[in-house]
Amino acid sequence: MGMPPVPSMPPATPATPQALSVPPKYRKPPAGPTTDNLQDQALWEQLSSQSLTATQVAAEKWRTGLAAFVTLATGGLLLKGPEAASNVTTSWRIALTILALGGLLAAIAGLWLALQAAAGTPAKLNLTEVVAKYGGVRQFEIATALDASRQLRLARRVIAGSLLLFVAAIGTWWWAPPKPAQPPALISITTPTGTVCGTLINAHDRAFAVQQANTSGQTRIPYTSTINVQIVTSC
Amino acid sequence: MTATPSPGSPASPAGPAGPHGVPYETDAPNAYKWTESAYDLLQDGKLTAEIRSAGGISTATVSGECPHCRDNVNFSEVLDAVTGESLGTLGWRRTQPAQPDDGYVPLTVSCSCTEQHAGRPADINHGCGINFRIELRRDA
Repeated sequence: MGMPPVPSMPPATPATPQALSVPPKYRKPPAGPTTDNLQDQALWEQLSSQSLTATQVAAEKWRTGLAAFVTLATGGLLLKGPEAASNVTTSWRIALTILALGGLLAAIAGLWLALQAAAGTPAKLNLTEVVAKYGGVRQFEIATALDASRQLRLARRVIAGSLLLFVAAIGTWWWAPPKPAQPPALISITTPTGTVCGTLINAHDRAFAVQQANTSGQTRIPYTSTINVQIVTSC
Repeated sequence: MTATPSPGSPASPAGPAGPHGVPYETDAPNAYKWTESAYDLLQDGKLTAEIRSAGGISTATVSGECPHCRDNVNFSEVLDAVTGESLGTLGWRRTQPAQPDDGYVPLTVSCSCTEQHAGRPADINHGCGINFRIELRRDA
């Protein structure tokens, strides 16, 4: 198809102050449609009609990928085991808990948003309302796709925040100083009648007060009855 | 582009149409004369174009007399789409737009009338075969 002749410009209208300030509603195109214009239109039509499907497919892939990231990050936390968290001091443990729980909550929220973007929410619709609000069903589909893409963008941000929190939690765990080792606090007292082993409660009034395991009361052992006293790590 | 055929509806809001029996255009469907004629019809108010925005989605509609068959053009095109690709790119590279935004939206309009036209291909159920361009001010 050859290029059409360049048209002469439309006849000039008398200039008025308003015409000078407001550009005309329509402008004469310098050429007719080209094959590229028509191809673009057809492709755009296809792109537009597939908006919702394409967005949901993309959201599904993002959801899977984001879930994999979260699994990776939480795996790093679980590697040491929850019981290992008790081996750090209380202040570090509080920080660790805040970071890990914050990361977990953000991950749940982000994955929820991503799932909503991918799967949508079934709802009852009314054609009249759809047409009144959006102008047509096609427009409604594109608006829905737009909402889904916004949800997905938010999901990505929330999960990025969650991953940062998880990484911070893992780093905190690595660098947290371990809880100081508890000194042996059990005492074993040998008397003529046998050995008493347990936690030393006090040593007042010339007698030891010992709390033995699996007994409710304390055992008092006068100094005079003591043959030997030892600090032990276990009874 | 979306055609909304409505059998039995009036052919044109512009009143009794002209040459209903015109054959389907195959020789010069994109000729500039259609664009020129469409511009004249727009100036005369026999053809109208507008961009409506509802629910955040813009739709261009063109209705009125077709430059070729004089039936209702009955054309609409959704100007927005959502895809997995965005116009932005990662990195700091910035690209210049292909065309500067001068406030006018160019539209490629295909006649989507519902009248019968001799010679229309079997796989097409609307239109008289012509395409033309219009340029519409975005905020008009």
